[in-house]
Amino acid sequence: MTIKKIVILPPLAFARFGSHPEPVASYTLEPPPEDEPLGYRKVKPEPTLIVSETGEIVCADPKPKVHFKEHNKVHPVAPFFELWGELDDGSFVHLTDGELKTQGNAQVEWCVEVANRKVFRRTRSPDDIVSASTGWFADHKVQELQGICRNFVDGRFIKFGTVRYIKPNREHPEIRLRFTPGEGLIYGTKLTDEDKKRTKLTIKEPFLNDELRIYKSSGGWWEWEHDKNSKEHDEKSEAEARKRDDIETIPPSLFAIVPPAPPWLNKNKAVSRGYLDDACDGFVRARLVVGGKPLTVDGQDVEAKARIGVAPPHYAPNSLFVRNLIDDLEQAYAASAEKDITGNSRERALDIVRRAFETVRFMNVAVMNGNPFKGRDPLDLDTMPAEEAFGTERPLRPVFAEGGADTRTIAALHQRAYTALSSGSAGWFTKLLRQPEQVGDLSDEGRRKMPALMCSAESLYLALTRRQISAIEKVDAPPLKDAEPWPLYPISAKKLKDLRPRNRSAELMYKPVGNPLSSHPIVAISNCCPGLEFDFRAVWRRLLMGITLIEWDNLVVEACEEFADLKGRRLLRVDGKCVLTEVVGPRPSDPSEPLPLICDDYPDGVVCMEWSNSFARFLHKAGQEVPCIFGGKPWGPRKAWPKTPDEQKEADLIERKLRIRNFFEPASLVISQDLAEPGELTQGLCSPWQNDFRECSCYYWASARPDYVNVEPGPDGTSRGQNWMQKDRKHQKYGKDQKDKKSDYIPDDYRDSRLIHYDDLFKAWEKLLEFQVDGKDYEPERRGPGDQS
Amino acid sequence: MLSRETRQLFDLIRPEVDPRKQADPKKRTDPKKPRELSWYEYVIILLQIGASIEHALMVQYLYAAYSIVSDQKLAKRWREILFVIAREEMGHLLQVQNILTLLGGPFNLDRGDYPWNVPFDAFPFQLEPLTEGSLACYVYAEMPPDKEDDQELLEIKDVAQKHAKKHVGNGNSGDGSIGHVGTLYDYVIRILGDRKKVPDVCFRDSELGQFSFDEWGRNYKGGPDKRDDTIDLPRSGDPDKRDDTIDLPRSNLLIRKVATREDAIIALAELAEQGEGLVAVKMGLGSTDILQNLSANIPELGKGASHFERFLEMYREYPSEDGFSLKVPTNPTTNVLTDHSSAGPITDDSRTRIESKRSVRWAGLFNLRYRMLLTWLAHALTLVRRVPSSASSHLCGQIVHRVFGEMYNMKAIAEMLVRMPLTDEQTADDPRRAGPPFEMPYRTSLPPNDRDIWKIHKGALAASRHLSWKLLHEDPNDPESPAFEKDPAAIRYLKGMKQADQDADEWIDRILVGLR
Repeated sequence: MTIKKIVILPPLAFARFGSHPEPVASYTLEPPPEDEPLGYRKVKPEPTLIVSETGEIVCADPKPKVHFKEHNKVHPVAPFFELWGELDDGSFVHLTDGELKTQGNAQVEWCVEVANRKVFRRTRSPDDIVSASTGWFADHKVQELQGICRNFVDGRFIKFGTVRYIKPNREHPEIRLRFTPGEGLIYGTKLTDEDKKRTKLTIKEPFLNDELRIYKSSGGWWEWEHDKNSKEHDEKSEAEARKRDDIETIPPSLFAIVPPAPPWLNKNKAVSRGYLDDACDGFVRARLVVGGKPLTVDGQDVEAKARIGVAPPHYAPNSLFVRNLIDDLEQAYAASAEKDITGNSRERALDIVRRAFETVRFMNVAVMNGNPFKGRDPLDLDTMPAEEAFGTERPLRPVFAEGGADTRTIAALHQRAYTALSSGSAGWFTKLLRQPEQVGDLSDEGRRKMPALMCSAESLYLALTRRQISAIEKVDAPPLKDAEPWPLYPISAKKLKDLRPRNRSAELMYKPVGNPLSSHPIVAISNCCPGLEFDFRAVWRRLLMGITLIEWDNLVVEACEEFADLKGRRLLRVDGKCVLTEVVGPRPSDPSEPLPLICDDYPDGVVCMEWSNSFARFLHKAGQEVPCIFGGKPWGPRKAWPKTPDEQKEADLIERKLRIRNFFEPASLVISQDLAEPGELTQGLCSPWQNDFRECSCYYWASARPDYVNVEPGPDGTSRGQNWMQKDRKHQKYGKDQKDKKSDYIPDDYRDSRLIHYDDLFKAWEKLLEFQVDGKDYEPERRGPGDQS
Repeated sequence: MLSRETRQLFDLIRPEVDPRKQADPKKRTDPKKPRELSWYEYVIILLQIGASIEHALMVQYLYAAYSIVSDQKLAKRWREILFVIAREEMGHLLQVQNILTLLGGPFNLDRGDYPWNVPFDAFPFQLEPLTEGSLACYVYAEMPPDKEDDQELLEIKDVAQKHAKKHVGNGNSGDGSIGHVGTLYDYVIRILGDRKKVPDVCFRDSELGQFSFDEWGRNYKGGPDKRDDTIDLPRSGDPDKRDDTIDLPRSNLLIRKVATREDAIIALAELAEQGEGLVAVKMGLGSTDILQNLSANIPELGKGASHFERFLEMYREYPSEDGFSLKVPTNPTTNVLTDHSSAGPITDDSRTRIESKRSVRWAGLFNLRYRMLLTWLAHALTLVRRVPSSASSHLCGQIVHRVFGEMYNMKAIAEMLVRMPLTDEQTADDPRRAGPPFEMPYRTSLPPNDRDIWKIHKGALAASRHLSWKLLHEDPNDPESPAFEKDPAAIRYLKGMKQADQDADEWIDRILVGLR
C-alpha cells in the first residue's frame, strides 16, 4: 500500500492556557436529555490519552473525570494532531508506524512554527515580532517553543509551550503530535533605573518577576502610544498616521495601559505598560522522509500542514456561541465550493436558536438593553446601546421596551420558538433576522433584529453568517437528495471516513481521540472585535492578490508594484457589489424616519462590512479576476460610494481587475498561508489577553466571556444573578450578625472594587475566573462532569 | 350574537341601512342610539364589538392560512399574506383596547365561538379552509362602499353570497347577507366626531394604561426593508435561490397610544384604511367640523397595502380549481356534546366535531394554549391600566413576552393539527383533516387580586401538564403505559413545552412568595 498524500487533522485546533500539570480530559458535548430538550448540553467524558514521561501513550482512560480547574489551577487544553494518509487503494487512514514501514521505512518529521505579532501590530516594528520554531525533528523528546524577538533582552524568550511527537507503541501505533500551551503568563519590560524613575506606572507588578521581564525598554513597546507625537488627533494627523502605518486596531488600545483605564473613559489616553503574553498562532507541519530525503510522489514532496492557535480557556464549556468559527469556516468552504445548504436546514436552524438562548442566558438582558440599573444612568454601564451612543455621538436609547428586557423571560421566549420549530412548524422569523448589509441600521427597528444586543466585527450589531441566515430561510425546505447533512457536533474518525469522500469539509468537524471539545473551532467565537481565539478579520486582508487591506476597514495599506497606485486608497466595490453599508439612525425629531449618522467613527455615514460575510459573496470565484473599484483621497477617511458625477470626480475612482485567492490550501481545509502567516491571526487581539477579559464585555461573546451567572427567578419575578466578574459570588457577609447573603448583580464598571480589575487578572486570573457549567459556578471539589461519585 | 347585544344594536342592524348611502354624506342617516344607553356607553359597546370582530377576523384568517398546503410557491405566498393580515388584525384588536382605555371603558377580549354572526357584520364568521368562496367573502367584506357598482366586484359579491348562504340554516342567525366590516368603524367615528354626542369630559386625556408599538409591534412596521439602489442587498448566502416570500411586504401593526378624541378618530380611520383603503375612509368621515378638519390628517398607507387590495389580488390569482387547501373542517369543535340529531345549544351542521382520539386531545391542548394566551393578554391589560400600580406591574413587559410565547405554541399545534386525521375510522387516503378549533374559554375576565391572577396561570399550566401527560401516555393513570403520541416531532414538542411550562411554574411560584 502506497501513501499518496498526507493530511494533518484536525486542520485547525486550539490549545488553551492553564498551569495545572495535567491537561484537561477529553470530552464532548451531547444534546440535553430527551425529557429536558431546553436544558444544558451535557459534558460527556471521552477516552483520554495519557502520555508517559517517555512520550508514549500508556493508556486511554475510557471514562475520565473531567475537571476544568482544580486548586486554582486550570487544566490546559493540549490538543493532538494526527497524521492521516490517502493510500493508493483510495482509503483514508490514520497512519501508523506500521504503514510507514511499508513505505520504504519512511520517517515522519515535524516542524512547528508559531509567532506572536501583537506588539508588532501596534508598533509596526519588525523587531517586535516574537517567533518560535522547532525546526524539523523526528525524535520523541519534548520540544520547547521559545519565542524570541530582537527587542528582547539577550537570552530571554516567551515560553509558547511545547510539542512532542508521540512515540507509537503496540497499543497505540498511530502517528500523532501533541501541542501543550504555555501557562498564560504575562511578560513585561526590563526597566533600567532611569526608566524606573520616570515611569508613570505607580502600581506594583508582583506578577512580573525578573525572569518575566524580557522586553528591552528601548524597544518602543514600553510607553508606546498611537500617533504619539501628534498634539491634535484630527483628520489630518490621522491621515498622516495611516500613511506611516500607525493604524489602530478596532477596538483601539487593546493592551495593558498605565492607569487610568479603560482609555475611552479617560480621554482616549493609552500608554502601553509594555506587556506581552504567550498567546500565539502558526503551523504544525509534517513530512515523510526516506533515507534522509523528503519523500516525493509525482514530483511533489509528501508534506502536510495544520494550524494551531493558543487561546484563553473556554469558560462556558457546555454552551456554544450563536456564531462561531465553524460557521464562518463552513461558509468559506461552501461559498468556495458553491454548495447549497445541504440536507438539514431545520436541524441547523434549531441549533442556531439553541445557541441563541445559550448565549442569552449569560447576558443580563435588562442591563445590556440599556435600562437604568437601580437608578444608575445607563450611559455609565458598559453595553451595546452605550457603545452605540458613544460611537455615534447620540443619546442612548434602550434597544427594546424596557419592561420586557429580562434574561430568563427572553431565554424562555427563545425556548418557545425552539420548541415550536422542533415540532416541524413552518419558519416565521426570517424577516426578524439582521442581514449583513443591515448592520449599520441603528433605528429601533434595525437594532431589534436578531441576534440582538451583541457586537459584530464592525463594532455594530451582530449579523449571523449568510449561510446561517440561509439555513433559517430554508427551514421548511425538504432535504436535498443524496446530500449528507452537515454535522452539528464534532465527529469521530469513523464518521469522518464515511463523510469525507463526499464532503471534504467534514475534516473541519473532525475531533481526534483525546482532544477535548474546547480544542475545536466550534467553541471559538467569530464576531471578532477583536475576538478571543483568533482575530478572524485578519484572514481576509490579502484575499485580493496584490493588495493588503486593514483587517477592519477598506483601506489598502500594502500593494505590490503592479497596484502601487492603490496603496492608501479605499476598496469600494468587488465584482459589482459594495463593501460598505450605510449607518443610519432614528431622526430625533421623528424616530420613524432614518437619518444618516455622520460622526468621527462614520465620517461619511458608512461603515465597511466585516469581510467574512462580505467576501463570502465572491469566494466561489477564487482563482479568477474580478473587477474592483477603488477611490478616495490617498490615506483619507472612509467615504460612501459616490452617487453624483461631482462626487465621482472627487472620488477619483480607479477600476482594476484583481484575482481572488483560494481561502484554503489546495485540496485541504487549512486556511491558506498566503492569507495569514504565523502570528497574523492573533495579532489584533489584546496584549495581554487578560486585559481583554476585563475590557471586553459580554456583548462581544457572552457564551465565552459570560456576564450573568447563577441566574434564577427573584421574588419579584425578575431574574436574579451575579456578574461573572464579581470577586465574591458565594457569600457577602454584612452587618453585625455577619449573615450570609448571596450577592446581587453588580453592573460592570471599571472602578468598583467588588469587581475583578485588570491587575487582579494579571496577578491571579486562574484563581479568580470561574468556569460556568449549567449556568453556574463550576465547583470541581464537589462535583465534576463525568464524576460518578 | 347574544340577544342582549342585538337588542342594543337595533339601529345598526336595520335591514334598510344601506352602506352605500352611509358613504355619501348627503344621503347618510344620522346615527341613532338605543334609548337605554348614553352615547358614551353606546360608543364603548360599539368599540367592544369592534374588538370582538377584530379578534374573530384575526382567528379566521389564521385558520385559512393554516389550511393552505404550503409546498407550492403561490400557496406559500398566500399563506404569508394571510399571516400578514392576521397580524394586522391583532394590531387592530390592541389598538381598539387603547381607545377603550382612553374612554375609560373596560377592555374586551371576548368573541363568539364559530360560527358567529354579528348582524351588521360582513358575513358569518367561519373557520374554514381557503376556497374561492371564502376568499370572495374576504374581498367583499373589506371592500370600500364606493365600489358597489364595480362589475368585477359585483361578480365577486355574487360568489360570496352563494358561499355565505351555504351556512344559513346551519345555526347562523341572520339571513346570510353580507355587509362591510368598515360599517362599524364608520359609525363609531361619526359618533366620536360629534362633541354633542360624546363630550370632551368622556376622554381621559392621557396615554397612561395603553400599549405602545414598542411593546407589541415586534418590528412589524410594514414595507419591504429599506434599500439603497447603489448598495446590493442580498438576502442570504444564496441570494439567487431565496424564498419569494421574503420580499413580500411585512405586517404593519398599527398600535399607537391615543391621548385625545382626535387621536382616537385618526387611529380608527387608520384601522379602517388598512382594511378598506383610504378613499373609503375619507368618504365616510362625515360632516362635523371635527371630522372635516381631521380628514387631511389621516396618513396614507402604501398602495396595495389595504386588506381589500391584497385579498382582491389573491382572488384574481386564484386558479380555477381548488387544491390549495387541506381538507380541514369548517368550524371544528372538541365539544363531545355535539349531537347531530338534536337542536341543542349547538347548531350542529355548522360545526364539525373532531372525532379522532389523538386529534381531539391535541385540539384540546390547542384550546388550552389559546386560553393561556388570552389570560396573559388580559393580565397585561389589567396591569397596564391599574392605578395605583400593583405589585406585579413591573412584570407587564415580561407578560407580553408570555403572550408571544403562546402564539408560538399555538402555531406549532395548529400546524400539527391540520395534518392529523379528523376521525379514527377514516382510511389512509381520506383527505379529511382536523384543525385548530380556536374555541373560546368559559371566561376572559380575571379576578381583581394579583395573587389570584397568578394562581389562574398556575391552574392553566397544571391543566396543560395533564393534557400533555394524556398525550404522552396511552393510559393517563399508568405512567408505565406506552406512548400515546407516536410522532417523534410531536413528542419532542411536548417535552419541550412541558419543560418550558415547568420553568414558568417555578417563576410564578417565586412571584407568589414575593407577594405574600
